[in-house]
Amino acid sequence: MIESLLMSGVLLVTILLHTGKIVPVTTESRFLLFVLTLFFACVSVMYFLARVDHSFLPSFSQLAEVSYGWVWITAFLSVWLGKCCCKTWLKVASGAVGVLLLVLLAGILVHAAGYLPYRWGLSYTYAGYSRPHGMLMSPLEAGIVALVTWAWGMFWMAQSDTRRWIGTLLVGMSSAAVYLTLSRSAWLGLGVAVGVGTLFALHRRFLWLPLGVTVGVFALSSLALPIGWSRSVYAAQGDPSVASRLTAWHKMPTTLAQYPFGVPDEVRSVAIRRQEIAQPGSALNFYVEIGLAYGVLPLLLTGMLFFLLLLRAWQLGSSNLPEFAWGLGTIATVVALLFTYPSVLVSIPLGGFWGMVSAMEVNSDATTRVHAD
Amino acid sequence: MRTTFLAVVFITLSLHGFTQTSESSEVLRLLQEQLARQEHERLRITTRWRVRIEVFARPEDRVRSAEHSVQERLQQGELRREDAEWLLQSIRKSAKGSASECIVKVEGQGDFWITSGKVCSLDDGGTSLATKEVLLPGSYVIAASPISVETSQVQTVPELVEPLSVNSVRPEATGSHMPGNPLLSRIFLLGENPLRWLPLEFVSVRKEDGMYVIDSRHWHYKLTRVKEQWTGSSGSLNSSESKLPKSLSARLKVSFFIDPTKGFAVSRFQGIQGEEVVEVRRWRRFGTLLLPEQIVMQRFVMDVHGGERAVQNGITYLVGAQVVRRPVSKITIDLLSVEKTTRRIALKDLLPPNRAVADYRLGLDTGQVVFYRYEGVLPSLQQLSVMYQQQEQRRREESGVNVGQTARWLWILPALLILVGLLWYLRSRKL
Repeated sequence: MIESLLMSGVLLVTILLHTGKIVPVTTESRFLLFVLTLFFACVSVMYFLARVDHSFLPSFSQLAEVSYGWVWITAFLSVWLGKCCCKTWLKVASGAVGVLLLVLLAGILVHAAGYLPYRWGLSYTYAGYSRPHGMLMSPLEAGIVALVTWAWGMFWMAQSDTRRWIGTLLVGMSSAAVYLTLSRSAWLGLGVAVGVGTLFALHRRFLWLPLGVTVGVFALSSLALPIGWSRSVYAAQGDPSVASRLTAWHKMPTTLAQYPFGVPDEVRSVAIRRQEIAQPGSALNFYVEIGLAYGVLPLLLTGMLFFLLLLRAWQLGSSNLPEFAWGLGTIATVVALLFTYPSVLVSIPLGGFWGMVSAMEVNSDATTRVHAD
Repeated sequence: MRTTFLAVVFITLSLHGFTQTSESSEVLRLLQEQLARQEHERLRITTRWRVRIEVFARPEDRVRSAEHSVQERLQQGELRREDAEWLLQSIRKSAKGSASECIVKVEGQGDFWITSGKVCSLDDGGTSLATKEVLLPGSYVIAASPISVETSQVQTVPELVEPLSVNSVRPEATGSHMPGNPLLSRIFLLGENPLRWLPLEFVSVRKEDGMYVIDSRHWHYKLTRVKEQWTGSSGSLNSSESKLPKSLSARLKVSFFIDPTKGFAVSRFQGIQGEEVVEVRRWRRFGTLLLPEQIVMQRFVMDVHGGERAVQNGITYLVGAQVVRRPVSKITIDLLSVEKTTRRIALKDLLPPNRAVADYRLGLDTGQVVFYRYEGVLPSLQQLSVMYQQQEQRRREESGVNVGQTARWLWILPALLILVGLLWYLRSRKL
C-alpha cells in the first residue's frame, strides 16, 4: 500500500510538472538530481552485476528487482530537472544515453547479420529465423530502442547541417532494425507514428523525405526477409504470445478489484497457481504492469500522464520545429509498450526520452519554466 | 457338506500361501547372506576402474520442440526469465553429444570404501576435478573438497588427493565418482549389498531363467526416494513444474538379477520403466571372488511426440501423445586392476576435527544443507534437523532484514520527490 501511494505521489508530481502547475527551484532541483544520479548509478551497477552472475551477491538482483518499477519515472524526472536547472548534467547524460543507444542499435544490426556480441541464454526464433536483439534481452526491447533511435534520426534529418546525412543513416538503420526484430509491437508503434506523421506531412513538405526513407527501408527489409509478412497471419491463427497477453489482460479487472494497491509480494509466488489472478510480469503491457504492481491509482495517473504526453507529441508534430520527430517517437514508443515492458537497461533511456519530450516548450516564445532562487 | 468343502479349500489355500511366503522369505534370507558376504569381501580389496561416458545428442526435432515449449511457458508467465534461460542452455547443450573418460580408484578399508579420482559426470563440461570420498556401506558419503588438476594428470589423480579434508557430508545415494545413478555404481563397482537400499516391505523375490530376481517398489531416483508410483519427469529439461501426461505415470518397479553361478553377484539391473539398464558383460576371477570386468550402464528416456495440450485442474496433459524410448547415455566401466588392500587407514584419521562441513543428509533434492564445524562426531539426523531449522531462521531474519530494509530505504527517494514537489506547488500558489 505504501509503495502504491508513493508511486501515485510521484506520478502526480510529474503530471503537475508537465502541466506547469509546479515550478521547480534551481537549488532543490540540483539536490534532487544529485540523489537521482546516485540512484541510477547504484541500480545500474546492481543490475549488471546481477546479470553477469546470479550467484554473485544474489541480493543485488533482488534489490534491482525492487527498484525496477521506479527506474523509468525517476529517469523521466531527472531529465526534466536537468533540462530546467542543470544543462551540464543534461549534456553529459544525453551524451551517455546517446552512446548507449547507438551501441545497442549496432548490437541489434550485428546480431541480425548473424553475430551475437553477448549471448544471453534466451533466444527468440520465428519459423527458424533468429530474431535479433543484440545486447538486449529480447527483440521486443530491441524494437523499442530502434524506435527511439528512429526518432533521433528523424530529428537530425530535419537539421540543415551535416547531421542531416547522419540522421538519414540513423533513420534507415533504425527502420531496418525495427523490421528485422519481427516485433509486432514495434511495427505497430512505427506504423502509427508514420501514419500520424503522414497527416502532418500534408501541410509540411519537409516531412515527406524522412517518412519516405522510413517506409522505403522498412519495405526493402521486408523484401529481403519476407518471412515477416506471415507474422500477422500467424497472430490470426492463435499465436500463443498474443493469446497469453489477452488472457492476462482479461484477468486484470479481477486482480485489481482484489488487490487495489497492487499484487503484494507474498501473493506473487502463489499467483501462478491461482488462475484467476494476473501475475505481475505476465501481462506484457507496460501500463497494465504498473496497475498490477502498484494498483489502481498509479494506473489511472499513468494513463493521465501518457495522455498528456501524447497531447504534447501532437503539439510537437503540429509545430514547424524539428522537435516534431520527438513527438512521433513518443507516439511510437507509447503504442509499442501496449505489448511489452522494458527492462532496467531500456527503462533509463526510455524514461529519459519521455522526460525530455515532457519538458519541451512547444512555443519558442514561452516563458521559462524555472525559478531562480 | 458345503461348509466342510469350503473349510478344506480355505485351509489348503492358506497353507499354500504360507508355504509360498515362507519359501520366498527363505530365498530372501539366502540372498541377503550371499550379498552381505560379497560386500564383506569387496571391502577388503582395492580396484581401479576406467569409466567411459558417452552422452548421445538429442534429436534436432526434440531440441526444437523443447525450446518452443520453454518459450511458450515463459510467455505464459509459467517460468521466470532466468529459469527459462537456464533451461534453454541445458536444452542446447543436450543437442550435442559428448564423451569423457576418468579413472576411479576404490579402496576397501574393511568397514568403508575410499574412492578417489576425477569427478565422473554425465554432463562433464571439460573440467577436471579430483576428489576423495568416504562411502559407508548403506550410509552417507563424506566428501573432500575437489581440487583442480590438469587433464594430463588425470591418470595419476588418485595419488594426488591427500589428505582428505572434510568438505561435505551427503546422503547415501550420492557419490561424485559414481556416474549415472550413484547407487547403481555403488552396487556394481563397490559391490555394496543392494538390499541395504531396499526396505523389505517393498521387496519380492522370484526366479527367472536360473537367476534370482529381486523386485522392489522402492528406489532412489535422481537423489529422491520414490516408492509405489513413479511420476518423475524424463529429464530436468522439463523442470519440476511440468507435468507429464497420465500415460507416463506408472507403477514403480526396479529389478536386480542375481546370478548364482557367479557366486550370487548382481549381474543385471533394470530400472523404472526400463529407463536404466545395467549389465555385467564380462567377469574376472580374483581368488574366490568373481568381479565384474566390464559393466555397461545405459539410460533411456521416454520422448513424447505429438498430442494435444489439455489443461485439467491446472495440470497440463498431452492427449493422444506417442511415447518413444530413446537412449540418452552409455557408461562403460572396465576393471583395470584388482589387489588386496595393503594400506590401512582409520576413519578418524581421515576426518580430522575442526573442519567446516556442509551436511546434505537431510535431502539433496530438497536443498536442505546445514553448515557447521566438525568436531570429531557427526550430528545425528534429528540433531541435524534442529540445526537446519535454526540456520533457516537466522537466514530468514538476515535476508529479510537486508532486502526489506533496503527496499524501505528506497522509499526515501519517492518520498523526497513528493515532499519537494509539494513544496514547489505551495510556492507556486503563493506566487
